[in-house]
Amino acid sequence: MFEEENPGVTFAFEPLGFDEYWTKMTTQAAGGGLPDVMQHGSSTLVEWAKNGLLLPLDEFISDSVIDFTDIPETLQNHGKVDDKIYGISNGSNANGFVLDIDAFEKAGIALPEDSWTWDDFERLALELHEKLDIWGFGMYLHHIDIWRILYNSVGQELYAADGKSLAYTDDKPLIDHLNMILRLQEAGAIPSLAEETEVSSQGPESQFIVSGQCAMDWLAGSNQLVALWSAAGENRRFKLMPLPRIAGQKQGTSIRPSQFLALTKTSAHPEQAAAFMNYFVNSIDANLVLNAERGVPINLKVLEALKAKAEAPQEAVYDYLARLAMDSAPYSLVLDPLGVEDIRTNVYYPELTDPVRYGMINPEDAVVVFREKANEILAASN
Amino acid sequence: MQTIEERGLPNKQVAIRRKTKRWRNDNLMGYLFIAPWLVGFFGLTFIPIAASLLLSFTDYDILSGSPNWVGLKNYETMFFRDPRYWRSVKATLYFAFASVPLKLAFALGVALLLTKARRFVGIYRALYYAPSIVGGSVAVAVMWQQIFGNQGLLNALLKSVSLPTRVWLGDPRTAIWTLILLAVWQFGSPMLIFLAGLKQIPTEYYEAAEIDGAGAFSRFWRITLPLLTPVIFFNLVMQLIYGFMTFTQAYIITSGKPLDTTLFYNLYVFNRAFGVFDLGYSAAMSWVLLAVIATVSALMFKLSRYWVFYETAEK
Repeated sequence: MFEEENPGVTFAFEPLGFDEYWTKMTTQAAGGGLPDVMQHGSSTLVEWAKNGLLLPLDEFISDSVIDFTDIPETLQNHGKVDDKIYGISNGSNANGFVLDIDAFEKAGIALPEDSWTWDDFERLALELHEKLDIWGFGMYLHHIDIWRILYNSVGQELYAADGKSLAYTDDKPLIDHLNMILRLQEAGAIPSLAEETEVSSQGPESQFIVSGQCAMDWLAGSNQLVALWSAAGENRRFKLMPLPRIAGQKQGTSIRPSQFLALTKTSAHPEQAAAFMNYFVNSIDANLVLNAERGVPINLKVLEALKAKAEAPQEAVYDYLARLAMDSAPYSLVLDPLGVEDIRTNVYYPELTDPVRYGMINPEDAVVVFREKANEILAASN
Repeated sequence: MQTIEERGLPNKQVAIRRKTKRWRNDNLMGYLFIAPWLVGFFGLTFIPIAASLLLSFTDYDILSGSPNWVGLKNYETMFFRDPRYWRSVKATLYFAFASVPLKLAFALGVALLLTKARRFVGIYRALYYAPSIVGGSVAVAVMWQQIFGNQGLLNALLKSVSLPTRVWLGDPRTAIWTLILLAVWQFGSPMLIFLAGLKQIPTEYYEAAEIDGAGAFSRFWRITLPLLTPVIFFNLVMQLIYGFMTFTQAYIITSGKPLDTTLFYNLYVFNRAFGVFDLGYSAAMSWVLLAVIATVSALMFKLSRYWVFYETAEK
């Protein structure tokens, strides 16, 4: 569509599997051949921006090549690193728990409020398990995003401002959460990690709630609800909830950019590339086609146009983000220093959550090991 | 050509000079002929390998530009500060030393059965060989995942006869055995080599043994096995080396989970190189693997003179 309106601009595209994207992009960064426009996640945007691989977009914004007029300021600043804007949010999303409305009705349990606590959650999971003989909750109750949500709930950050260590000193929220997971596992209200392992590396279509094996499930990004719902069937009913909070504390879930569009430094045509990014974010026609698959559009006019045509899954997503916007935890890009990916792959899951869930180490000891190793990595990378 | 007398040189010197010139010409022609291969070897094999050795002493991670020299830091981290490294070593050793003996045992057993010229022996041979051709492929790995998956074939069969099911791929105790099974299933290619080795044993030995009253087990233990030791040795070394280098199956079927019990060495190298782009570290790991395989092979060769019997060798 962009090509039609802008003759003289052509696109070369190639399909890639999700896993290969970063391998290919990084190789191209080293060897040349990077595309003009690419998509980024929040951690990679910081890394690439700090390593000088991306062009700051500020001048395009001030020249109105990229039009930010219909975009709320907080959402504009999502892509800021070191005071320059390097990425435009492709759409907003948030973590959430997805609830199967029919399962709750069948068990005769009322849907929880947005302000529910982890104690409420535990109780519900156990009740649903007992009444329906399925799992109360599906997979990834130990997901790394929940670690952040727990600490945001008590008003703390994960990483120190200089990025050289963890910011929080009290491991209790994490320990309590892990102990809750162990209790639920013991009671059979959630699957064992062995059972989760197979499903966790596949997409939202394979989650347990789709096949009715659980009543509540994890949703890594609210935009995934669309894929999940269509796999589950049109006649199902789902509701998205923010994650429970620690009793007496604040909402921990935050609205974040699902992805960014960024301009690479080696682009031969930065103006046209910026114009394309502008089109992607601001054009109503283009977004009607995309239909919030990447996240809720940040341009308010676009959002209105999409809402008018939304179906049940999209409506649930818009509704969730609107409710969440009222008290969501604040989000800023520079919360993730360098080394976060290392911590995620080599420490958080293999040394902390997985051994704990397999019963090889208890949470109190595991968090000590985790803290030590995470601090080591952060100190070395920043 | 001038005569020797005309040139005034003694015979020997002229002869040597002519020989040297031809020697140089022949060598030059030889090099020219293999020049394409040499280019490939140096460009695609030798130089990248040398580069990776150099990289192993740096902290290269592509994104932050050129590599910085860090000396032995990568090796130090690997041996002393990385628990996942030792888990991957353990997983690889466990896998290699469990799958190789089993694989060779099956290979030898089935080869012994197939030496008798029965009616369908050709078909059986092909059937047993087939897995080792396709076994290393992605398709078979995905199929294996389906068979042992929680909702997979094996559990379905067990349920249908009311036997308890297990989470084969998720349970730390059983996950690696699915991979060992996949490796052992591919016993066809060592089997063929054993068959060739068995065919070379002269039948006179068996006849002589039978006349002397040796039973089937004696014949196997005192004739077959000793004369097969060269083949066993060959298969052992080759299979062990492949075992240490296994990657595809672990990558596709289990991705190293659960709890790193199937995190094979090469899979860990891959993850570190292309997951977190820790290229200097992975290069270091690869060189350690090379050193280990070389050492193990050298050790096996050294020890082989105690148990491998070559008919032509002198005592």
